[in-house]
Amino acid sequence: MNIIISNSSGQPIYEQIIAQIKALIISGQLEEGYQLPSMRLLAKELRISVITTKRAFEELEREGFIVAITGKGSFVAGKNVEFIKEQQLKEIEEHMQEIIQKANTCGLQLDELIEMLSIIYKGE
Amino acid sequence: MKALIIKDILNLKGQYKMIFGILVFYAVLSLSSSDANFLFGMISIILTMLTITSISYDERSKWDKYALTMPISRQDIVISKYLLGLILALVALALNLIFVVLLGDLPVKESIATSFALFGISLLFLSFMLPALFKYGVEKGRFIMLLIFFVPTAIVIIASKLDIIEMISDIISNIPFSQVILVLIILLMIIVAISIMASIRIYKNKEM
Amino acid sequence: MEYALKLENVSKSYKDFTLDNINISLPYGSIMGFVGENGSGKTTTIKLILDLIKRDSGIITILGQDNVDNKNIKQLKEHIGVVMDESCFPEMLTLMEVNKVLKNIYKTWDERKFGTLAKQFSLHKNKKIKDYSKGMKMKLSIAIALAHDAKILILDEATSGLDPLVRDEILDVFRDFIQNDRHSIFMTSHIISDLEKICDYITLIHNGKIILNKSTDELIDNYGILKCSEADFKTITPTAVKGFRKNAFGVEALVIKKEIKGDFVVDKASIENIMVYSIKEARCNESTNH
Repeated sequence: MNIIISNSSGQPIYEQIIAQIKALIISGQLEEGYQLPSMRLLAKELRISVITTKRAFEELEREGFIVAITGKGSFVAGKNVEFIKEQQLKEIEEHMQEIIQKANTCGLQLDELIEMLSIIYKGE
Repeated sequence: MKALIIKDILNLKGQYKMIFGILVFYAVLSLSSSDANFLFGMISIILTMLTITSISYDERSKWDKYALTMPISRQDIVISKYLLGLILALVALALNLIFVVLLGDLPVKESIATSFALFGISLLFLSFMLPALFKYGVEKGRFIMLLIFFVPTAIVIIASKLDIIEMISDIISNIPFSQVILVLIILLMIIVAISIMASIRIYKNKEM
Repeated sequence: MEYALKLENVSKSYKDFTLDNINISLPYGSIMGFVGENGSGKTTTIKLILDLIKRDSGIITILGQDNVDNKNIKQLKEHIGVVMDESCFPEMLTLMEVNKVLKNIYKTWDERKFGTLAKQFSLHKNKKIKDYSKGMKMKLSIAIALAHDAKILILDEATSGLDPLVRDEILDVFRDFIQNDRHSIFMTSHIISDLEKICDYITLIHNGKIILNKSTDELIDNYGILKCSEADFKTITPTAVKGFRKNAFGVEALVIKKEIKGDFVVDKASIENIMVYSIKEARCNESTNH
């Protein structure tokens, strides 16, 4: 996998990384399930900041091109980006069911729950 | 602590040859003049000064600051210097006693007494010197060193002029010898203890 | 968020200099470059972090623990690796003897790792430290800092005096160190190009105050060097300008790229540019306040 970044082009480095990895995935050079190098390794090899690589990876994940699995690393997502989104929505629904159940057992009301959620969301 | 003493002993290695040479010189002198007191004195002084030298080396190489970034406490550093001083004083004592044995024609009892007295004086000297060094460093400490040499000497000279020494000798000669020695030893230990506590307090508050 | 190194409202006053309300936060897994002119308070800050001098106020925590000498401080120091700007090792010792001493100081001393690093850095085994070149002394300090279980490296001018090849080698060593995302580095350096290559965050101190504290990316992405005529310069919104310099043929200014409208020449700003202009600006503000 080749990543070439330019310091003299006006484009921020993290954008260059995103663009190149996207291109590699879309063209099929990186197949579904391919394990990407870790953010730190990429930072080290390219001699850039970890913050940059982290930002690039986070953006790629947001757009559904890669999936980060804690403890294992980041993997190229299937071309069917819609499918991934669906999976993640399903997971969120399941987590929500759990939360509602727990809220019920300690008598937490819906508006309190929503407030908690807002606070935590804003804190991110 | 062990590490600090090892480091000091290794770091002083540049001094050992020179010390050996000086001691051989004075040993030969003593042989020819049958007076070993000068030799004993030199051994004690040289070895006691090694402790000061090691502190000077530490300062020069900025080891003292560096060491504090390691799992070493300021107390460890202070105590290691006292231990070093003690070890060197014991070595001096041992050397002196060896010379008593080697240079057969010496008044044995007196020489042994002198050796132990010098041991005590080394510790006394360090007790006054070390807190000053910890507080002011070696450069400014040199001045204090002169004071520590000359003030007691001056006091003794003045006291002898005023016959105070004779008065004290008279009083002491009425007390059994062993008791006098005991009191002196206890006094020495108290002074050393106070010195250690003072040094620790000084060093703990020192801004490096 | 937890921080590998955190200074909160730290102050220290001297007769003619004050370190004023310093706040620094170094997240785990990152490298922060701490820069400033000589006399800006860099060394004082490092000494406060290492508890070589006492702070007047504020809190300093390293790896989540208070940095002052207390019961647990020896355990904490097992995990701190320090490189000071001069070699601080007793000069008459050889490498082997240094190893012997440190073996008895650090519980986590890794003799084999030390040997490997010594070999990697080509350190002579039997030469006395006093016969080491400056570069070798630095490399020795770095080898020592890495040979015990250090989780944070505090480096004070660790690459100064080293030739570019060696510096490159050492920066790689630091990058390796940071592969573990619980390892962090806090470093000062006058060699800004080194900091630019490796740091995630840059903190700039001037006259005892922190005047800049951002991620390297943010700095490089947001700042630029504007070049234009004096007449054109007057049309630029003052808030976009973070420092400028007039020359005989025009004006050069450090600007926030986004806030510059129009067809101007805006080049990439290096960290050095940013630092120099920021300090100049700070000095200007100081003299206008007097």
